[in-house]
Amino acid sequence: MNTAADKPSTPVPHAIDVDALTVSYGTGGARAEVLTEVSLTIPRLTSMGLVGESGSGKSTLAKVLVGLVPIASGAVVIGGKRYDATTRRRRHDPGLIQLIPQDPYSSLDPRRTAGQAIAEALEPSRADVRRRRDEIECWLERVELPASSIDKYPHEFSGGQRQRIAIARALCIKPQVVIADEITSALDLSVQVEVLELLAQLRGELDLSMLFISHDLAVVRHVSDEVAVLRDGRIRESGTAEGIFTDPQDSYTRTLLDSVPGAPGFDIRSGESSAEEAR
Amino acid sequence: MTAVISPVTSRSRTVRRRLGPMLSTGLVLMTGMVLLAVVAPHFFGEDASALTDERRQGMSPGHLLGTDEFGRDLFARALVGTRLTLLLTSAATAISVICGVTFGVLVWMMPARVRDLVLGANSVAVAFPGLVLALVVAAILGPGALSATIAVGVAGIPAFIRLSANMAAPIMVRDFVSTARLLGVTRLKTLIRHVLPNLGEPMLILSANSFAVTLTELSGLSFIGLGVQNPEYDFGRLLADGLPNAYTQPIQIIGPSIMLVLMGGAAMFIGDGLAARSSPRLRGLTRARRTGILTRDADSPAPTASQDAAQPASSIRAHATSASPICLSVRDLNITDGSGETLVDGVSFDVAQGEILGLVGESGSGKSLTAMTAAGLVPEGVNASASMITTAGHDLLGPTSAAELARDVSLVYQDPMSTFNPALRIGSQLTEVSRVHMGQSRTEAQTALAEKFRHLRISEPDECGRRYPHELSGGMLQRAMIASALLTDAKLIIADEPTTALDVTVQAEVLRQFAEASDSLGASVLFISHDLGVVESLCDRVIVMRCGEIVEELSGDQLSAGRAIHPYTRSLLNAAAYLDPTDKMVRKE
Repeated sequence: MNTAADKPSTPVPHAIDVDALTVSYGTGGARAEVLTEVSLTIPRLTSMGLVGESGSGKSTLAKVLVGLVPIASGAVVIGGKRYDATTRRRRHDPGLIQLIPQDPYSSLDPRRTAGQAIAEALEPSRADVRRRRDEIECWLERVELPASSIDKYPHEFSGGQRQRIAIARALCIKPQVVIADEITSALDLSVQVEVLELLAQLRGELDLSMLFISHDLAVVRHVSDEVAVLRDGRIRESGTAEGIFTDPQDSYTRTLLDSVPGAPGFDIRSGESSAEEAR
Repeated sequence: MTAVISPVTSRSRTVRRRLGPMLSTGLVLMTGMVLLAVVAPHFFGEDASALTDERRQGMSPGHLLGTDEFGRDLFARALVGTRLTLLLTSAATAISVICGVTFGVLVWMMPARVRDLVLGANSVAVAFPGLVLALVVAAILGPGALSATIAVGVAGIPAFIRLSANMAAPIMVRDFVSTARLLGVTRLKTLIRHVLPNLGEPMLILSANSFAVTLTELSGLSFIGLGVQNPEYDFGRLLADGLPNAYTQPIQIIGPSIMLVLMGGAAMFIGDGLAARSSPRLRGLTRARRTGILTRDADSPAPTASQDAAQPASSIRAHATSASPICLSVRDLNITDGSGETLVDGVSFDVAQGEILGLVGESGSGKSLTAMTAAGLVPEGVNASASMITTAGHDLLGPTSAAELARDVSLVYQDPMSTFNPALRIGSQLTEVSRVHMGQSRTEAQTALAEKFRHLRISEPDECGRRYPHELSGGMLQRAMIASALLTDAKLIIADEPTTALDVTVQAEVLRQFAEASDSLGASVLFISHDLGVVESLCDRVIVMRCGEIVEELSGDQLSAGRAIHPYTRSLLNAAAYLDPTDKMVRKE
């Protein structure tokens, strides 16, 4: 790992700097580029929303950032540490960046209690609940779960409660950056609101920088300071959340906004589809 | 063993019910075997090995299964042989399972290419017959109980490597494994902490079944003289001793045969019982509540056809004044699950012809159950009753024609990818109703389908029907489903969260298609959704469900204006408003 983020113009490193990142799957004729020349900057302590439809490459970007997918060209700089195609990222640095996965049913081991899940984050080698009991209970209470949840198994929780445990697990080691990958898409509307409010509150308390990935414009607008729109592996538009939502410049962004039922541009009986115009 | 089974107290009966008949039978049998293995040599050891003058005797009260040519009691020998058989079989099974599972999980430590090589080589070993492998190993090690046990144990390893490696594969890609990696847990620790425990249950089941196979293999080796040697004896050895006299004194082989069958059966019962317990579906089947039942409320008379249309329930006011005829009418629908818990409680509603009715609620509110029951599809394991369900003119509580119902009611499901059979072309699946129930020829049906595709402006309407489901996107599949509703001139379209799995731009397309299908067909739509925005833009009227009850009914305009009265609807609206991307959105035109 070479720490070479010595840009003179930015004395304080950004939380995340993505520089002309290209990622591809497969080799030879089957090679498919998933991300093409993506550049993105997340300043410290801000929340960036990444919007895109299925297949846009937004989850791939998350996997690249946490080191699960190799970089083809370009680089990512996380908290001052630079990773590019030549970096071998064998060991992950948990304190640097954490990911809250999408599916609360798959992200918790069905055979381990909530306490064991959090203990594993606090102390990966031993995962001992007894030694860290107070700390774990404190974290459960921080995500608004009763301390008695510590000995319960995942199947005893609802989807929203599981997602809270996943949030506690990702945040308890106080990472510099956290990526939330579609964390509300499996939840009921009212539960979504609760989880988002909790995340916003914790972000303030823990001085987090955040990349919030979602296909849901409403959710992104609610939690993001800045927004980037991704389509077919390219950034179509990025800017402040207010700017993107009130005055979109890109035609695709406009189509996205107009497609939300109830939006001013949405007309259910319109003969011509605006979605096809944009394609 | 009978002493173990009886007396059947009420406590043991509840245990049996909880464990299931197979598992409890297996456990009782196996406990009996273990007890025999422990105590039999103490009580019968003398009779089993003492040489007497009472040779080759038949059955008698003194010798229940007679005696052999040395005058040893065969009944005693069969019982005493249990210990050695059980010990050797358990040891061999343990070798197979422990070595196999350890290697099978550890291959996931290796880089992908090495792992593929190792597993490939292992597959060759699996293809080699286990008994032959055991024979080879036993021949190399020389005859004897120990070598036979090692031979059979080793021969079973490749199968367990293969099974555990394959069963670990889906666990390795689960989120909790990659999360463990992100938390800095080493790969070995991840395997031990997350993968191995999740393999436990299936491995236990397979071990129990493997025990039965190992038993026959070991007995086989002893039988042909490569296993247990005289004067030691297991069931296989006893069979071999009895074989030369099989014609003159067949009673000799009965004891070991019965014991083999009982022990093997015990292991099989335990294995199958465990498997049934681990699968909720099989567990449900044993309770014999397989299909959902739809019945008429006992206290309500069968309504005549004229009553249906003329008497909208007084509780439904919004459309009591409407002049348009009723397409779907549900009265006092109650649904309970197998244990008697109420899932839907007294739901009544109407859908007028040409109306789009939204059914809103969060997960577990009973909205899908209600809609599926209205389509005559009561899910497995629930019981539904109502005083009236009239769907597109069919009284579902009386005898109905499945063909006519299939023609008049069209369903659009949530996940388009799992709605279609991936092996069949789209066209043949979508024209099934018109071909099977309406007697159209294949060509007629395909032409009509292409026509409907064109009507819904689906690109390449003529080729679309010849495609396979995986060749089309989710949005296209949902649109194709709607086209098939047009094809049969369906009177009612029931759509269960049809846009939840779709991207927002595609969702907009599909919603427009619903509106258009409803307009051009004059069909009614029952549209289930959790998304108030979607419902508000599409539906004429909205019913809000919560915990199996209708809490509020609103017109589309009332919903847009936020004029909900019930606190639950208000909380839903608040949540939606909180998450509204369009609020204060001032667009530059």
